[in-house]
Amino acid sequence: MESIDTNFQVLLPDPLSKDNSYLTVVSGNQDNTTILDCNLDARLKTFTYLKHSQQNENFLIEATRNFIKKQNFSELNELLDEGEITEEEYEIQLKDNPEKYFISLKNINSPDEVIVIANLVKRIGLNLRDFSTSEVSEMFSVKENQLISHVNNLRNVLK
Amino acid sequence: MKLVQLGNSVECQKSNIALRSSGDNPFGIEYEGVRYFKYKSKKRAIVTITEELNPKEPRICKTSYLDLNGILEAEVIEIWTEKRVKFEVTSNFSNVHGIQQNSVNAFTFAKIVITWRAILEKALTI
Repeated sequence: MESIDTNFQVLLPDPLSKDNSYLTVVSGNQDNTTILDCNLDARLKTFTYLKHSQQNENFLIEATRNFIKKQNFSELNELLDEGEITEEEYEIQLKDNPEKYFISLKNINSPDEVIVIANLVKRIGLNLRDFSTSEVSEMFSVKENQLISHVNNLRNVLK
Repeated sequence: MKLVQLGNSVECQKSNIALRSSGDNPFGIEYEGVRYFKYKSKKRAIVTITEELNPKEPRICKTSYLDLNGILEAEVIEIWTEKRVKFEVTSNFSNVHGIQQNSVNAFTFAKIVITWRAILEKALTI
């Protein structure tokens, strides 16, 4: 790996200092010096915001996909009920195209995901529907027991 | 043993299910690699264990009741089955002998529904 010489100097915060939330970047020569102070706290907040935005987007896409899967399943049920397809054809369709019909419930990777889900459900609105915990789990493809367990553990954060 | 509390569940190899409303048609759930048909009863329902799991270990919820003749009864119940079931609806639960029992010869998981609101309220008030 090649290295490039620069005249940049990074001054890390003094670990003994009470105020260690700044990272200082110094660049320049004898005539001109540029000092850039980076607020680490602001950087952390920006990173957290971007991470939550990405999680929001992922969960909303998952919810849309699961809505479509339910629609697909409902249409297949109608075809069977109306006699347009046989039970055998119904079973074959489900077996051959599980990704079109089945909502896969996955593990929750971090408590952050539950906060994102709780916020999304709040924004969707409980006045729209008094969702059950299993409906929320289906909506966002997460395991219901883990969802309930995480909500109980996160009570201090949600307060 | 009769289970009537929110969040109670049963799991079994075979079951009898009595419903006053079959709710919507099923949709598909995949849980740990196994595909299930999921139903929701919106009126009173009774699920009875007629054959225990073998091995007798819960697949979906570790607190599920597993013993033979265990009964789950509530207004709103969610039911997962490994095979598609066409439920017959019972119109009158007051005459016990007249209840239409749907015999389900497949893995069954049934749970009394909890609302998201109730879980949040519980979490915030403990």
